[in-house]
Amino acid sequence: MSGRVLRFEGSVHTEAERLLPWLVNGTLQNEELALVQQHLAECTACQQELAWLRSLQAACIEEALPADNPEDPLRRLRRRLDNAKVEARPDRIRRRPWLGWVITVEAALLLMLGAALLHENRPAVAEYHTLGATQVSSEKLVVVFDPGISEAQLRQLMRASEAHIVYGPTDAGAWVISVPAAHAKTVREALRAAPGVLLVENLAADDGD
Amino acid sequence: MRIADNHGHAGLHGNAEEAEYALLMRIAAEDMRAFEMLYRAYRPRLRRFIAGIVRQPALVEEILDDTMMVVWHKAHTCNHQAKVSTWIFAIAWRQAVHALRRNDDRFEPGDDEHVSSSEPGPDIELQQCELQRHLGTALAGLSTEQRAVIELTYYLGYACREIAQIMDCPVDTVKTRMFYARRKLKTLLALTREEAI
Repeated sequence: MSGRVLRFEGSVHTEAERLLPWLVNGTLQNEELALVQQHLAECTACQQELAWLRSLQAACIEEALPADNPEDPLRRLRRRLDNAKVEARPDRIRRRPWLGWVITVEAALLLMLGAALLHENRPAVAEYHTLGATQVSSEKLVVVFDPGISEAQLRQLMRASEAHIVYGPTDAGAWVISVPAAHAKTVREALRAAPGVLLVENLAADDGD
Repeated sequence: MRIADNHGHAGLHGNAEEAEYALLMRIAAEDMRAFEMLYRAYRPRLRRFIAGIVRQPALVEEILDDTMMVVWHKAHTCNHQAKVSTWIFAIAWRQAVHALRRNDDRFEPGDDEHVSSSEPGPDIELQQCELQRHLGTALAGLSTEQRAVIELTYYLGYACREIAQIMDCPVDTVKTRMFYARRKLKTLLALTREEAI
């Protein structure tokens, strides 16, 4: 930007006048709101300016575009997204199909090892459940994320999938995640399609894939 | 789910904001139905915002599509710190600036230093209908950045701090742009009125 940035630590009038647009749109808060309201009570120039800004806001809102039907542009956009999807999918795993099996087997072995150790260390106490308690069954998936994926992105994918991480990352960069069995298939497909995910395999032997 | 009232005002609280964020997370998992819902909810406001900035009908759809493409591909990067709408309008602003620069440099940066310092007197107080009639012409005389600040404040109802987030600039810069936009609008409206007489 070529313009100078004005500093607004000047007089109360200057500061209040600069803030008037946000008094008009109702977003001014706390000290700024108090400052402007107090100043307005005694400044005729700012009262006139406020009236003009309210007219300006009303005119802006009235200056509407004609309504349109969103379905045609949405259809066009869907076609564009479909084309982009085909072009942009990371292809590293596809070019090395054996890698998926290696990672899945590695993750399965590590998970079994972990489960065995946990079983060994667990005290022999019976588990009790209340009558109302429901057991939510889950399935385990092996997931490999793109190395460039951010922690925030990973967390959001987990949240969107109602998944939690059980184990990982392995040396090959794989994670084992647990998802509700009821929609494991949907989650698996969604993760496979998600950007930043290179591989998703089911750890269950009866997966059918 | 809201996602905004007819004037597109930015106030969105609690559950509605959470619902909008949940929708975005579904889009991160490539849920096309969620994307369609978001598109339908945001299209009127985005279209109006972009049209207000670029003032070139032929570019509006292109920028809107580019914006929603970025929303689809980058939904996972929206952290919950900012409002979803702020995140989306920030994308739209960047896409509009890129498009204007791509198209023969029609991006008009702020011309703050060249605005006359003489404030028009109180005689420019136009009646509401007169303001309404000449506003479009006067807005066309502002810089792209000034028009964006006007749209984001008066039509979309954003706070100064949120506009700074959308335009990726300091809060003082937003105040400066608004200050010069108001002054220039008054001058342009007065000129337009004189020409009309």
